[in-house]
Amino acid sequence: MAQRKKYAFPANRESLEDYYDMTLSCYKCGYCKYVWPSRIQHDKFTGQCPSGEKYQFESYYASGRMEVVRGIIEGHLKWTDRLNHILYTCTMCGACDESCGQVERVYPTDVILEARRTAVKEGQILPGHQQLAKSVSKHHNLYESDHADRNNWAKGLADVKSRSKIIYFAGCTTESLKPSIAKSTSKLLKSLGVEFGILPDGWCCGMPLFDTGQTDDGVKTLKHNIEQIRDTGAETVIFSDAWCYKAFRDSKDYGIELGFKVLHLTEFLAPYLAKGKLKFDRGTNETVTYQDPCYLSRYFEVYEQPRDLIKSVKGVTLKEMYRSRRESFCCGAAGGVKFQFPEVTEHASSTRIDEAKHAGLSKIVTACPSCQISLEDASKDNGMEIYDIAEYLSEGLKKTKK
Amino acid sequence: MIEPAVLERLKDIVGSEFATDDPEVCIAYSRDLATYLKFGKYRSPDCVVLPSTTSEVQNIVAVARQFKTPLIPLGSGINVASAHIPRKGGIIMDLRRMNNILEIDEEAVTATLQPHVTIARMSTELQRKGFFIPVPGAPSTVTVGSNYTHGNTNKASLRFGFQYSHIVSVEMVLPDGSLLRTGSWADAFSGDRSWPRGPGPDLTLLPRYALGLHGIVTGITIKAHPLDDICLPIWAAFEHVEDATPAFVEMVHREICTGSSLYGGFKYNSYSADTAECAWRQSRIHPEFILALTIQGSKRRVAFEEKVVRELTDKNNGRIITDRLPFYQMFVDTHMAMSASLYSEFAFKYWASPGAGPSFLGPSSMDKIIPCFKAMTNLASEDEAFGDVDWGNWEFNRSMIAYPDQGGHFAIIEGGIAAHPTDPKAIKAYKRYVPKLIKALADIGVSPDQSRANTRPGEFGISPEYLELAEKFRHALDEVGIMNPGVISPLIYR
Repeated sequence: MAQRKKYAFPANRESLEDYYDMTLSCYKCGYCKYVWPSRIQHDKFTGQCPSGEKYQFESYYASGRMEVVRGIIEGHLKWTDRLNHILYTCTMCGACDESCGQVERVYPTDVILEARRTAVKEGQILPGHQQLAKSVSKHHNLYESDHADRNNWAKGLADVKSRSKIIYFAGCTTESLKPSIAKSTSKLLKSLGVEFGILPDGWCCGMPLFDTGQTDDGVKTLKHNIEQIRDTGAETVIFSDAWCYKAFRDSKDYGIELGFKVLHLTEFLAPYLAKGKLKFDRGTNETVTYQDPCYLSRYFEVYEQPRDLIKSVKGVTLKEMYRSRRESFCCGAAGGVKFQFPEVTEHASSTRIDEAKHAGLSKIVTACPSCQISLEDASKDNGMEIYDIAEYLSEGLKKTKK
Repeated sequence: MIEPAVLERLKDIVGSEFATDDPEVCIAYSRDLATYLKFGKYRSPDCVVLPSTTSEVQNIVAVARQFKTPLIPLGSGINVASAHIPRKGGIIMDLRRMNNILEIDEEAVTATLQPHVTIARMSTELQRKGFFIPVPGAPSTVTVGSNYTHGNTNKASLRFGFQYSHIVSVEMVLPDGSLLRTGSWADAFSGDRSWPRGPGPDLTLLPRYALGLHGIVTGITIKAHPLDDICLPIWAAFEHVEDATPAFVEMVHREICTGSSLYGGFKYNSYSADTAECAWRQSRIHPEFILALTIQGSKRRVAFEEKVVRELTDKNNGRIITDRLPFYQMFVDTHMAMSASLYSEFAFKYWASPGAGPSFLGPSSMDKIIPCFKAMTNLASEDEAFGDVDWGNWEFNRSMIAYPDQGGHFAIIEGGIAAHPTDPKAIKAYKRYVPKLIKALADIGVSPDQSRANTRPGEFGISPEYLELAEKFRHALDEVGIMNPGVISPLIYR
């Protein structure tokens, strides 16, 4: 699996002060703000930073945040509502890292994340994020749903297994808000004859906790899940939620060796598609576009597998939006933003919907429940249809000729 | 501290969400590449305001005048000399919200823009319609307004001349709050159509190099050109400056190639490499001198000029490196950006360089190219830091570009020794090296002093005479002294 390579010395940075050189390395070149120049497709859609696009002040772009963090390190800035607003409105989409990592070897999201961790250590936890930790602690999910209901979606589709080589980890967003994705994923796996199980006591993956600087809480819930998976003897874990996928893929950052393979559903299906074992027919000719989930695409370079799957559906044409792949524009949900500053998510999603409409598109497929929910929220009055890729493909399975 | 009454007025003008004195917001405008070198510390504004219309800009200027508060207009904020860093506090007027392409006139081949449209956006839109702008001379993320007022439009190609000559009309808010329109924009008889260099009071170059001292640009019309049938980048490599220079001079005198530049040493690597380390490595393995050429035009014209280029390269012991080495495609892309703006990406690479100074920029006769390079090199080799192979190794860090000016009668020469500008050892070396370099170049008849470097016909250059004239304009326009105080126009490096 391809993984984003980072080049920054020193490799191990343990406190915010260790990032001081990165903050000073920002030359203000501005490449963190825009689509890579030679890949601009339309002059109206060149922005890359959801929070910067909304608030416009320099502080809300990566280059400005580097100065804000410098101000914290140098002791010029105290913790205030504005400071927290600046730090926590970043969606951690990683668009800035794409250019800045190459140009200056500065990784703004790393710096921002460390600043958030420092904020938490100094008692600066925002109410929405505190609520997340409470909910995960009490209900083991982000949404205060009854933990006992987590596997309700699985009736007749998937079984809790004490031993299984393949585990499907649906994640609490899917279980609580989008169970149809889990159902669809199970149908897809079953159609291939894949023997898989689900966890008896799966908790939230912890990704929003990591993103909001609540690392200890995140590690606790992540470790619980890993232990559960290890108990099943699983060799492969499949994810349909890009957040959960990232939490597990990043586990090494927290000193955890997984001992099993982590795959997004689209990565798992890709070899089957290549061997001709998957055929989809939704019974219609249509043009769709694909929204890259940042935690799947930019962070782990899963760009082609979902596209190949969509293109394989009979009668379906995949048309890219003006910003796609590395230049994709975030839906605004990640980074813990939607739990505290939903207006940022709303703005980013609406911008994305506008872009799709401008490109003459009316159907968006994505590969993460959070992207789907954000885009759906922004599509209520404009007729844009939003699908998760599992749903989109499984509906095609119905008409597959065997 | 900003007076509460000022902030209230600003909020009334732009809306409360677009004006603030929060230190967490202001600090983002407090530092650029050179700030710590220049001032020893960062300098924050007292407040930030984001106007979206020309009338809002006018109202903000009026408030600044009324309260005698410094006002610093900010475009892209990409500056290596702290020109927009507030020296005396005050209001940063960030023009980010004025970012619309107002019109692409396909008959007059002009683009009319608000100041915060980036070069990349303008190029994209123009190319979509079959046009291009030559020689942007700045990173793609620089806004057209910034490029204009910071004077980065001094790049030239033999065919299209200087980029600044493509600025057709300008709308600007003067320091007294009034609106100035220049060129055909000011001519009631021109109607809506821009007429490049048409009749009308022409103060179009007033804001150039002025860094906001003479007013705030709120609109610009740029002349573009139709894309050619063929655009062929072709690069010739030479091992010695004595070979590369005659080839370059003869090509210029024969008036071939749309864009032609002589690159020496580190310079083209710093433009082309993806990372600083890549640039360092390339410097050690690549040809010492490169002629970066672009031929544009009809099939017949391109074939003819290519033939001449090959003959002159061969005659001067060079070789065409773009024939067989796909690796050089990145340089080709780079040069396309330099000469034809098809990608406008070169300066992305520029930012990968570990530093650009100390450098000079000066007009010179063509016969001074070789002595300039040698003087720069010899001085660097003798310097205790630049000449230290364990630290910097001048041999690989020296750089030069020469490009033709005045129809090929003169060359503009840029040179420098690359080092990271925040490295304390480099800072000391710069201070030691630059005066010696200026003297050495003066001895051979080149005026590399930045205070004389950028004089062009018809504009405010920065010779003492021009400086005096610029100051007179400044006093006439801004007797209160609110506009970007502390910055000396038009000398951005002072």
